[in-house]
Amino acid sequence: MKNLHKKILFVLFTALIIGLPAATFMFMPPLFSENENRYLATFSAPDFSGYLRNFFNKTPNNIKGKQFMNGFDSWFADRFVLREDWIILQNELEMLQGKTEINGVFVVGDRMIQSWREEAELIQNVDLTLRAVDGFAKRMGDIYGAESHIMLVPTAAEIYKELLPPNSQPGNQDALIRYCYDNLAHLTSIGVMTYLSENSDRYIYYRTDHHWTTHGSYLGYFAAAQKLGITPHDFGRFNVEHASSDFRGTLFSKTLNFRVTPDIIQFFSLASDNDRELLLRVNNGAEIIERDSLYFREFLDKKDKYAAFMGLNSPIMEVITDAPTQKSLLIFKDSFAHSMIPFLASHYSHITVLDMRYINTDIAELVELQNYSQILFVYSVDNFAEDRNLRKLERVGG
Amino acid sequence: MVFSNLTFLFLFLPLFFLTYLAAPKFLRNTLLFIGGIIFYAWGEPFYVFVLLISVLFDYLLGMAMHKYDNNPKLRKAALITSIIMNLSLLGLFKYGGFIAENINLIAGRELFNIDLPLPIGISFYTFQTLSYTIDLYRRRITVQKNPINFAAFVTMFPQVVAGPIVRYEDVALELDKREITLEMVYEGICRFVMGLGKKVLIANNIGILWSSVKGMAIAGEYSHMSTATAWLGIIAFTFQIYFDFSGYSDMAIGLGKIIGFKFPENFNYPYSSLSISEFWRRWHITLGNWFKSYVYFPMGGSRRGKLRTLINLGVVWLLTGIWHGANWNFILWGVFMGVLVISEKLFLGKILDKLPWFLSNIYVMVMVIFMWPIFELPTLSHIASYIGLMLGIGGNGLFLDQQAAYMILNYGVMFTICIVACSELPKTVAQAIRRRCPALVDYGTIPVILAIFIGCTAYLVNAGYNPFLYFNF
Repeated sequence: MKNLHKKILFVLFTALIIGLPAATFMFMPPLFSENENRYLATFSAPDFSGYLRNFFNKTPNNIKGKQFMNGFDSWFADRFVLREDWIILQNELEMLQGKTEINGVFVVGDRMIQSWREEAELIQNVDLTLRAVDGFAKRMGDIYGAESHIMLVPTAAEIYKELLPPNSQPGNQDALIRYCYDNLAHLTSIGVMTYLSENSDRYIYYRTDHHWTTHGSYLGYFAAAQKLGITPHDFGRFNVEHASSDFRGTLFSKTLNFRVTPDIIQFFSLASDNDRELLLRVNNGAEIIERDSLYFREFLDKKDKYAAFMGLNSPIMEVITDAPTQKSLLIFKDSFAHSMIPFLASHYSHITVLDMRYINTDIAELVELQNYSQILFVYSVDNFAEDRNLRKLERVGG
Repeated sequence: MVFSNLTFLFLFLPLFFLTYLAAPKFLRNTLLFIGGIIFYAWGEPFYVFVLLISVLFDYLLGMAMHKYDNNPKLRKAALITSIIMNLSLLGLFKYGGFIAENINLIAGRELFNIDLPLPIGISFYTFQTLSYTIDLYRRRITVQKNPINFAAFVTMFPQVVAGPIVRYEDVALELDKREITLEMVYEGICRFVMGLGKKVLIANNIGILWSSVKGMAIAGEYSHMSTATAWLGIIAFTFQIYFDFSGYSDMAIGLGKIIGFKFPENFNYPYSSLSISEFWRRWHITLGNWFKSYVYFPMGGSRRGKLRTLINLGVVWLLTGIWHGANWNFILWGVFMGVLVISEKLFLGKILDKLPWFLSNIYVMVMVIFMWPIFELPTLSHIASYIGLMLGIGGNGLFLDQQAAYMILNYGVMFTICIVACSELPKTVAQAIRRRCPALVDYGTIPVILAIFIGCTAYLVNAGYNPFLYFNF
């Protein structure tokens, strides 16, 4: 038949443009995408009167009536049948072209590394944060006699710099950390870079997530202990529990690359921990939850297994222990601190953990600042440099 | 709505085609009109009324010309009304802000403030409807009495937002009577998917490189850029704009074929040209033809002596520049093109004829590449700095730095694909194979087309970067 190939193409093409949307509507996926770790788009009903009202405002892209169209477009794309498989295919096509960076993530050997470059106004932004933090530390020292410490943790992109593709120009985290430390006159700086570099052949960063592993955070604890005046427990004394061995983290969510070996979530514990009592009080902004452990084992069955360390980010967490000491510690942190706090818990009777990203009131109304003899900032350096929320400390204790 | 969008590909397209094929023939133009309005309103829920008013007026003026066929004065009045109305729409929405801004500048205070968002496709559909009234006046075509057919001509979704600029005479016969054949549908699908691939797989991809370089240029970060970065960026744009716009035209032509229309071609391998004049006969052909038919020829073309020819060319190129946007950089760009075309007419053409073809082609490409910064960057100082950097002035003082090396590493494959895909090589190879073994090409086409379509879908599901460049014109 002369025209057979034409008929075949016509039938297959028609089958695709009818079959894929039909399947999309038949198999609507759930609203939350576990692998991508985000809520998929929803859309609202058309708002034509809003559209007309907003039509003549100066920014055409913000016209409200188009929310329906744009919302519908992203809703349809987010719910599209086999969405994850399409994204995997796209990422494969990207790598086939020789692209080394997918969605800001390098895949090198059996490891994913979050890319970090210095944004244009990095130093200007950092300076504002540094001024706020330094001023806060000075006031805490002057008013309450509290000593402040800071630990900026490099990310895997710094420790595994030599694994990155040639010419990829990663930002210099070492220099940035030194710059920050040099400009914080009222804080003691905790250098963790050397410990991490020396142990780079150990399992100190997750392969599929941007955080450090429990071993990595042990090194952070070890470095911090010397400055905080506590005696760290020897690494060898810890029992290591492999709580999960199929953790695929945030970097996996960005690339959906199944080829990199999943990660292991490890809980470190001391033999003496069993005899000790501990209370964790979490204020997640909506309610206050109390627990007797720092580990949230229910997250081991979910996608975001890193949340097994002290749960998801919450504005305020309090750790109250029966440690034979009166020392209390106030921590300002991002999620890097979550796996490190369990190590500190045996040295303090009271630790309060604040996440400034979720606090918009004066912290003096939330915590009794005079109760803390020590203050500790624990941040990954990229987040410290780019996050603007620490600037809220500018006003505190003034 | 745009073609490279999941909502279009997997909802609008199947629903439209099923209805269109199922509908009796006399309803098909109505469907085309309604479909076009939905398609247009998806992107412009308010300005769709400007489109409808424009359609209505030109339909009525056409009818008036027909009714007063024996009254030259009234016919002329109808034509002038149409020209004034269409150009006023264009003037108000597209150039109003620019004109007001410059009047204010001259006056030294704010006299006018016109700040209207540009209706999508207005530059295309006003030229289309103008072609109807002008050709009707010149008696090249006969009147369209059926308002639905006329509305379908202007608003049919394949070409309403970004051309090609289909003239009424191009589709006059098909509007009244057209057949849908397997041959046409097959060719249409192939053409559409090839265009989609050009847009989604090539233009969007290489465009990411240009948008990052352009971002640095607009932010004035020249001190971080090397000469190689400037070249890579603007070469990326050179490919992006070709694959974007010619991909769009391919999609429009393909969709037209599927529903039974033969639209005029818009691109013919422009980057193979051996002179700038030839380049413009191969790039955005329907726009060039429009200006030729309705501006250049009426002004006397090349029949009124050398000086007059040069003036006519100058006017056409100035207008071509202005058509692309209401800003001084587009005017400058048009003037630059005009100067090149006129120089070729005067002396350069003879030299180019004597050169080996590849040298002529290199000359064309160098000129084209130097012209895109004028087209793309908003102010004279940006343009000067960018072109300066291309020539090794300013920047970080390096020809090649890490940043440029990294771009080559990441985009090397894509640049190679671009070079091959904008040449006539793929076509020549396919023809050579077809001569020896037609079945291989026939059946080989199926997996190629499906693979491109599936690849495009993958990119669109996770779409981050998907602009259409020619929407702003």
